[in-house]
Amino acid sequence: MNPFNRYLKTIWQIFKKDIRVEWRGRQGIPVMLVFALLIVFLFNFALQLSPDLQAELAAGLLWVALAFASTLGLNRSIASERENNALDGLLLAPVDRSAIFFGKSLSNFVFTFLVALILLPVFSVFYNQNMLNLRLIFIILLGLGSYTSLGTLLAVLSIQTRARDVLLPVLLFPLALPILIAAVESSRLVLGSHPVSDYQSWLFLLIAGNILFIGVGLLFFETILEE
Amino acid sequence: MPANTLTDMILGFSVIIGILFLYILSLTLRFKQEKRKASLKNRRNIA
Amino acid sequence: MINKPKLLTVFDILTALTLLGALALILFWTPVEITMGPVQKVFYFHVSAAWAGMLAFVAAGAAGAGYLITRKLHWDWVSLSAVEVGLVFGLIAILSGMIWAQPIWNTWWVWEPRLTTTAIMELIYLAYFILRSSLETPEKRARLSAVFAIISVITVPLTFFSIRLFRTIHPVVIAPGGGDSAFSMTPCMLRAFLISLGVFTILLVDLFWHRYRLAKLNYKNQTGEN
Repeated sequence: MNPFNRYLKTIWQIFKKDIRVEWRGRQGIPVMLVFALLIVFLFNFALQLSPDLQAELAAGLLWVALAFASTLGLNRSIASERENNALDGLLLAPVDRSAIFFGKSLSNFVFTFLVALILLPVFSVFYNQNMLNLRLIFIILLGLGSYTSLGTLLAVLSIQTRARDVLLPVLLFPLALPILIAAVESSRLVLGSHPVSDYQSWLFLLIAGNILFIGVGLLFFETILEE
Repeated sequence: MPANTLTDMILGFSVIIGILFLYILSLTLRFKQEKRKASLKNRRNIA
Repeated sequence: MINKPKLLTVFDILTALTLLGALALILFWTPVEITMGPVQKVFYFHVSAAWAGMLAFVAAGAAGAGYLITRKLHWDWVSLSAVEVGLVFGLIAILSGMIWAQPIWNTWWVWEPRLTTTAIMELIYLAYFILRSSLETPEKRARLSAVFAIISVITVPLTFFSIRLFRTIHPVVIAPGGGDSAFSMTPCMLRAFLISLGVFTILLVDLFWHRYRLAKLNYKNQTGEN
């Protein structure tokens, strides 16, 4: 097998393992989903949103809910590797460590994306507008792609500390801010049926974020895990 | 006629100088503390 | 190590003198701005502090890379010292900016891109300190904080760009002057401004030097080296 196929296979195996763990334990997606819904309810009462204001804010609320909820999934996904020293086992495997990063990022990304897909119809009902929009889904793909790759790296970083998973949001939110701004703004413009030219700079920013954070992960994942 | 913002100017410069002063103070205090620790350790090493 | 080097004493005196000189220059020899009045004079130190803070954070990122390449702990002390001094300058920039904004725009806080980016940088580097405090072994602490310092410094341009783009879509209504530092500088003002930038850079190096000595001494005390 050539090295590239081997690399892809490693990523796939880690991804498959995470799906199996999720299927058996169901500790990631349901928790994220319920948490995201709770955030929606909390915001609704905390901000006393009037119906026409709600429509304007739906995109922002969606991203706040996703950003908060995904920290739970990210922490869970890395903490489960730490339990029973599964991470050590992974690291002992004769594979490129960046493949482990890609595998974990991929599963985190897919799980968070599933949560987003379930949230969309719910938001459509709550905020009385159709959010099952292919363009919006494309933006969610881009936004969550960079958010979860940065998140996976920082989750691995924070699990090494004494504070453990508590640290993740503090490290992740300020660094992910440009991604979240770009995601919120482009989602809002898409939902307001603006033409692509209005939000293409945000799309470029999201693509840049993907390249940057995947690159950063590739570069530093090994450094973070070395012992 | 420029706006009369003399008090704001004084406030601004006091805050700048004040923060610098507090930081220098904190550096001095921390350095003194480390010095004390170092001399304690030296004495123990000699004993 | 404990004894202060002579060069540092000389440098301290030089720093104090140039700082006082710049302050005198600004207070007595620069013209009063035509609409904003005396408060505009805060601008010289406000921008200089922001510049010094930015420089310190870039240096911290570079020192982080230095640590990861060489694995010499003194790079970690450089990084830590630069971040701490940078936080102080960032705080000065934010507070002096607020004091300037209050009489001019009648509000303490404007969501202006540079100001907001500085505030977010402060949050990022506060997180840097939380990260450090939660790691014990010096090598591991150095390694993980170096990674974080590097990631932080490369996201700063992205943050600034995104906030600026956000602002162009939602323009803030700012009454006089149009925007931040929208007044035109006379040659005399420009000279004072450039001198302030220089003086704050000297101040940054001086404070950094002291902080570095503290970091070194702290390490030696903890490991029992002499």
